[in-house]
Amino acid sequence: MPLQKARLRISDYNRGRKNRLKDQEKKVQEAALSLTSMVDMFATLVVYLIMTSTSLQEWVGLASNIELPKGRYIGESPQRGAALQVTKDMVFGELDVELISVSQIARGSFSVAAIKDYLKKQENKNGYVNVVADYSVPFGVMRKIIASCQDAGFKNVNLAIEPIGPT
Amino acid sequence: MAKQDLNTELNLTSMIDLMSCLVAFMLLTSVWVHVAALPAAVESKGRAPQSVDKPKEPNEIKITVTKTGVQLAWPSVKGVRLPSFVRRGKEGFDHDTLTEAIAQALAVKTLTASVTGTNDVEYGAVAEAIDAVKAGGLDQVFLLTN
Repeated sequence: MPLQKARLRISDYNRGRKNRLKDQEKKVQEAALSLTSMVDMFATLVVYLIMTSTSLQEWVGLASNIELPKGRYIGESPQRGAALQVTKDMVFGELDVELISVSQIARGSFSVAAIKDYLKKQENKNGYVNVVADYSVPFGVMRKIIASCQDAGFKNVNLAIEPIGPT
Repeated sequence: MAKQDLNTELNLTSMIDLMSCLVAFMLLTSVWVHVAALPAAVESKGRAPQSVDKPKEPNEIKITVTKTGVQLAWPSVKGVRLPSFVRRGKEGFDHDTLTEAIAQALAVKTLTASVTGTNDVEYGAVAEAIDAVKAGGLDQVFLLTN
């Protein structure tokens, strides 16, 4: 009698595979992490960051290379309006609008035309201009800058300071 | 037919991803320096009139900031001994002495102050002098530019 080859059908393979998978499934245990507190923390952090970032940018921008004078007086935060940024080397209208260099002001006349022209184009809110200046700028230069503000119709200044102590 | 389970779990993965990106972005872009404002009226002789009316009686403290310290010229304030010079050390001038003197004088008389500085003094020192005056309770401060 001739030998017969054992024939396995495809369904036989599948059955075996299914059984193996079932065994594996039994071994796997489900582990669920509770993410509620993490989501809460993230949400709180996002809200806090949104609140603080808007309050800082409310009335003035601050160039990165300006070291502000320190002070204790804490008045009300003024409105965002016309502003001048004075670094050790340069005077900016906004953070990226270069007006004139500090050395040019030191050599030039009492009233600075570049600052006057810039400020005349800005909105005048109660005659206040926000001045964000570096501590080490000579007062001789600041005197000319502030006089130019006055000539442009801004009779008062808000000098930006870094508050020390509790805010 | 079997009842469907009502307890469904929300997939929070994408939300947490978004939150993480937002927090990282805001931490990197936020400015940590607090900024306050020191308001002062600008005054120059022979220029546009000042915005705040000054009283006619001479009651103005004239403050001049120099490299060595702060010079003070007081109007007559009876019964109070006030300093005429506040020396400047390595850590700036004595802020408290100036603030206390202003507070003592204000207790007796209504005053205004005009602040200026020499050309070579740092702007920061002048700003700190204005701050000391304001901290003493004096609100009407004029910044002299001439």
